[in-house]
Amino acid sequence: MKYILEARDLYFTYPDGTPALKGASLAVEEGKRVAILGPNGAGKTTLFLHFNGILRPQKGKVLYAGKEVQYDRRFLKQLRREVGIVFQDPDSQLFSASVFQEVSFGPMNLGLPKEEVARLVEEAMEATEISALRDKPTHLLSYGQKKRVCLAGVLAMKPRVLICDEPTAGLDPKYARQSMELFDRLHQRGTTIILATHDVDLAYSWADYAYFMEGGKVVGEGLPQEVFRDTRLLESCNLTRPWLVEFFELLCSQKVLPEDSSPPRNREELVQLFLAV
Amino acid sequence: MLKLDCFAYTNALRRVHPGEKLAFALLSMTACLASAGPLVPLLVLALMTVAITRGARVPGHVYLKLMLVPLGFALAGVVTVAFNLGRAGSTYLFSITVHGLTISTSYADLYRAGLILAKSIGATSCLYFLTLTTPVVEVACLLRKARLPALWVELLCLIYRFIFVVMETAEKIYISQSARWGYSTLKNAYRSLGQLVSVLLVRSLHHSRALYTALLARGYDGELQVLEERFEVSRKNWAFITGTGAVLFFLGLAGRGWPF
Repeated sequence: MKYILEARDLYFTYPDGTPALKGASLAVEEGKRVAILGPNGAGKTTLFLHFNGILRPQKGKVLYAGKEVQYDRRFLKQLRREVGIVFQDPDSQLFSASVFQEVSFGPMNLGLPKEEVARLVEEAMEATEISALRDKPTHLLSYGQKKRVCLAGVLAMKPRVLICDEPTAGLDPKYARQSMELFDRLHQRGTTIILATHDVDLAYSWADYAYFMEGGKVVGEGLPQEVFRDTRLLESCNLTRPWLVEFFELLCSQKVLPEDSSPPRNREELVQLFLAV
Repeated sequence: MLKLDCFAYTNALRRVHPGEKLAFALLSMTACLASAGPLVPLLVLALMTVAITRGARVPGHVYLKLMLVPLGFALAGVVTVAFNLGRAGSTYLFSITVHGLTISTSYADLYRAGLILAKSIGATSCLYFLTLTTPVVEVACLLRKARLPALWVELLCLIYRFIFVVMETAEKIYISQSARWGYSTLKNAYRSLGQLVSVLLVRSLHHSRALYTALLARGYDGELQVLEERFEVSRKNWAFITGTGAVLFFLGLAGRGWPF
């Protein structure tokens, strides 16, 4: 197994004295779709900031592609090119009033020739379906559109690992679905995707692997069809079970489904399972 | 101000090279200010009015309303040029005496006032042309090309961007305050406004920190490098700009006040 990102026993306390990470450890396999769940203040965002070297752990190690992260300019530059983070609040990420300029910022920092940058920007705008917004100023965009511009700004750097903090929070169902479809397309092209989310249904159906964080630590991990059945773990993170799991277990307990059948991952699988009985 | 900003992005001259628009506005403005008589300023006003309402397709009533703002200021200023206290020599046109105070005006005074009025209105119309047709971001590109220090241009762009963020935040806070009777009495209003301002400051600090983090995450290393959109350079436009500029300068300087 090849891990692209690894956190080993990370400790981090913010300057104001808030301990954010208290021995967090996790390892993300390359090319996987990973969901990180946990209540607000569990340390998800802080962990992400460690993954591209913005924060430096006070204790513990961060590894990228098997190499320990070095905090010198050259290493960080490369790391930030390959590990892209899309933050939750688009207004604190967008610095330019022009959509085109905003998206071009990342690739320009890579020192690429202008033609190459222009190509990457066009590609990223197309992938996120914001090409029609290029002439609009960022302050006239809707919240969902701003989120896409942020995503495009990171995608334009062609990251190997894409980290998104609450990518669907505050989006209408259509935008949310489109974002998830985009993540799937990126995943098919080999990008590792890490999502932080509160949405258990989404994480359950989408992820290849799930981590649960609470109080600055990773308190649980595993395959979605296994961990999402662990009621105690979910409760400790202030989460509920996905409706699919709940419904599946009801069907099992009512003997509608055999006890040893494996839980459905999405609506279609549930229908299949039901029709098979 | 917000309306002005919206037109800058949606007007019909949006895709015209910003350099051409800037040159057009600046050349016309210089000709207007350098002119000896009121003819050129009036021509510039007419030219800009056509360029804004026909060229950029900004609705006439919007433009008229915008022009009324500086017109009010200009008129108030010009009154003091047109009228003198005390009888102004033998050339005065008329004078009135109220309670022993004589106010008079002469043909020369009126002419001078009219000239100043025409020049200021003409020059303002040029600035309106620029602001209504060219987004700030593109003006910033021109400034960058003009070799202004990168720091200034970056600051300009960041301030411009965050004016809107701060305004939006302030609006949201204001609405949530007034929904809870925050502005129901004068005393409440004072207190609420005070809180709004202090919260705004804290939020802005928070925003700037978050922005810095987000920039770092995309490889920021001290300079906000961005790719600027390319615009087609139009020979036709340049011919028009230099042509009108030359005619205006000729009329204003060589004509020496002709026909007035």
